[in-house]
Amino acid sequence: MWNKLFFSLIIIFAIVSRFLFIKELPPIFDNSVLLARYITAFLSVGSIFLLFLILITFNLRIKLIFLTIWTMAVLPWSIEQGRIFSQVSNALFFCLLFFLLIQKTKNFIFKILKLSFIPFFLYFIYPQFWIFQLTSVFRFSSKLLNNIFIIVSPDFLFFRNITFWWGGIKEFGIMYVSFLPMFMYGLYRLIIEKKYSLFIIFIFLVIISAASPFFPESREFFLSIPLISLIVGKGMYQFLYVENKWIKFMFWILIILVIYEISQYFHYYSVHYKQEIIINQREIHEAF
Amino acid sequence: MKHFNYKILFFIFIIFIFATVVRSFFLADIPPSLYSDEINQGYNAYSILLSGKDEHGIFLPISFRSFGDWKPPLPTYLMIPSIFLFGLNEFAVRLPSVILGIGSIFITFFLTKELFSSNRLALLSSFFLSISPWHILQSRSAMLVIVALFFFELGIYFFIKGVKNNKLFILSFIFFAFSIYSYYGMRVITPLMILFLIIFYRKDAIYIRKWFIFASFFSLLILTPLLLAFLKEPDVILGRARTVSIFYDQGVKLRQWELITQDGLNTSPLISRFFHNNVYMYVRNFLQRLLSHFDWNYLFFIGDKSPPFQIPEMGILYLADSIFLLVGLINLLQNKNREKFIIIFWIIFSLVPAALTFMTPSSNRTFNEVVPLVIFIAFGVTRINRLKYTQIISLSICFIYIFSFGYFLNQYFYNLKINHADYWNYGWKEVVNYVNSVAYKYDQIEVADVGMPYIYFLFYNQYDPIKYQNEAIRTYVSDQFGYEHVEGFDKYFFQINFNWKYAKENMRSKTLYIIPNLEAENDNNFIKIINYPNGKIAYKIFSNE
Repeated sequence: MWNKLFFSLIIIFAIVSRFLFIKELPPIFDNSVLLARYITAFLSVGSIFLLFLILITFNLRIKLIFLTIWTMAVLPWSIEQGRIFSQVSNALFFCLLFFLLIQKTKNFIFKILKLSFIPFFLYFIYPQFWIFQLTSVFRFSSKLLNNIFIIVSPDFLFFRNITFWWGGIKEFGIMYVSFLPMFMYGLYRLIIEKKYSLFIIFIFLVIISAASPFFPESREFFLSIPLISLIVGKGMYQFLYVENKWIKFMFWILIILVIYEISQYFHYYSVHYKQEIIINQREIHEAF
Repeated sequence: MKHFNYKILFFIFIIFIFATVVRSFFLADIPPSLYSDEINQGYNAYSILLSGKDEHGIFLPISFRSFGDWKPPLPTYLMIPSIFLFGLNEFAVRLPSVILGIGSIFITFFLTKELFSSNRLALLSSFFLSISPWHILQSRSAMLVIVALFFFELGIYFFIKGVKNNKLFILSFIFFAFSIYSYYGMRVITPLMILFLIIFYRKDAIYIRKWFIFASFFSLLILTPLLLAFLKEPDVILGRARTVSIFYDQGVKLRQWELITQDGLNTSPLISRFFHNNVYMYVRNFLQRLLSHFDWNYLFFIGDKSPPFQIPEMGILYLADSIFLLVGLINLLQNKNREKFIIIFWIIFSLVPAALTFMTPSSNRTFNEVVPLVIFIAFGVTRINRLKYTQIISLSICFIYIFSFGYFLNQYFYNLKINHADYWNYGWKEVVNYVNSVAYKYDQIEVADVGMPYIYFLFYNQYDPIKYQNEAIRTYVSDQFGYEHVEGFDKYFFQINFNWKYAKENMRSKTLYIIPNLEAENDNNFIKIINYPNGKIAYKIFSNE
């Protein structure tokens, strides 16, 4: 009996404190917002009700529950936000609603599904949430990711090294194209042999290179050359011990191609590279 | 059916509902306009429906001549029933793609189940296909590749089934033949895949019997019209492949010439040829283009840069897919199931036609690989889920994908429509509607030919195909990019390289001029402007009346 009375009084207070003179207080400048203001007030009262239901599920003492929801009803900020169109106040209602639904759900899969809907809803209800804004943090992360993807791209690894635009050899990548099968196989073997420490170092170097303010003109990735050599070497080594005669035959064909590509490189280096560098002399402003 | 249970059926049903909603929601309005390739197929289907002939007056063509290209016929013929039922509009044109897109999700389920005998993996694969941005984009537009994928998947599925039940080879070869009738790339991919499957299952060679021979003969019979058409017009088989191939592009040739020149006169021609020969340069170029499809920026971050296949600010796959794709790939390679090679070679074959062209990476030409990729992702998810803390991992995966999908919905259904409507040639429908309202005042309507406007006037006016076939003015002379233009019909005239500067100084009376804003940016004496949804000007309409 008393419980019902207390509960009703708190809810009545919440309704009155949120809806009374809502048209005039605070003064309204655009009538189109009025409906949104009513919705927020309604959801603000709803939040108090939902908090009550959630606390019940925790089996707390009823006095504590009433004191909590009363505090929420009378908090100055809660009243202020409850009487204007407030995205965050609306978001709070849905967060509490989802929390309650999750509490009431026993099935784990449905629990996950409901929980996963929270950010989705938040995006629509509270788009001004800083997480959803493209801040400089996001722009930096996005640029960093883009650079990381450039470094691990086949184009950079096998066809075009762009880290030294005016003075480098852009015609070749970090590795010869014919290294590709060895690189792939070596990588695969190292992964299944769980040599994770190598990858941690490699990832660290990739991030360091990608984060450089001078990217793509950042040569920090050169520090990973020993690791890349190790991966290719591992691949070659494994190929040597493959028993399948067809794969072995293909491997030796590949070795011939490697030799051809190395000769290509030396030809390019000795004949074409110097001609192309001379044209770019003015652009190179460092010891070279 | 013994492995089937109601739980699986329930999940399949949920995926079906989900895929249907995502693929048919606002189908007529998003993408924001019919692209020229879509509308061309739509009008030709309408023309066949009413006259039995295409826009060129050819009776039931085996390849549709389209802007100087030859389009495979099946996607156009498949539009005829929906245009008959719903009329000539955006919904009817795109409906077959939606149906076949949903169909391909189901085939992916059965195919994965057949390959890996796992309901869970099959369900996850079809689920990931249903939320794939790449697959959704293609399923919601009337492009050729979604039709090709559907029949290609059926072909592979029935081939694998056919190893045990030989009669099914007939179905397999029929579907493979249909895939060849759906998209040019399949004329390379399908034969490679068939050859691979034959070699792969050579030890189960019970099929080298009458059913296999019968199926091959039957598929040849289906392909006979195409082969006969080839004898009459060789371009029918490979269409624009010649003009977009790496051999047509002058880039490699110019570089080769530059390198040989740098070698100088003192270098022996033999040495020059040894280092700068066609084989090395083209193989390198081919590999570079092939491997560009594994660029992570393309796959997960930036996507295909060529409109209309671009989803703003996202890759063709979700960023989250990158982790599961890698884990799935490693897991699949470790898997002892030999059927994994079908998936791996499926990817490789799918990339070959695209790598032979100079516009790479291309999400449209490599669309076939979407199925193997989602199987990898599904593999990755099942593998990660086997780690400790399953509940937390499941929760995180759901969280990541719901967030990713929400982002995709925003980019595709809102951002693309509002801010990038130009990707889809937006504005012609609005132009046609306006022109129709004032056309009675004018004797002549001059249109600057950008994006093949004639087909938009035919489509949105539901122009009588027989009348058009008789009055179309066209010379069939290609421009420098290989496109053929229509110069006019009725009182509409279309001019390529339209000289607006000259035309505005010599405006004729009773003539309406339709000019893209880029050509007439500083001219404000227009009588009407057509805006993009974001308020920017798309077209200006002028008259001296």
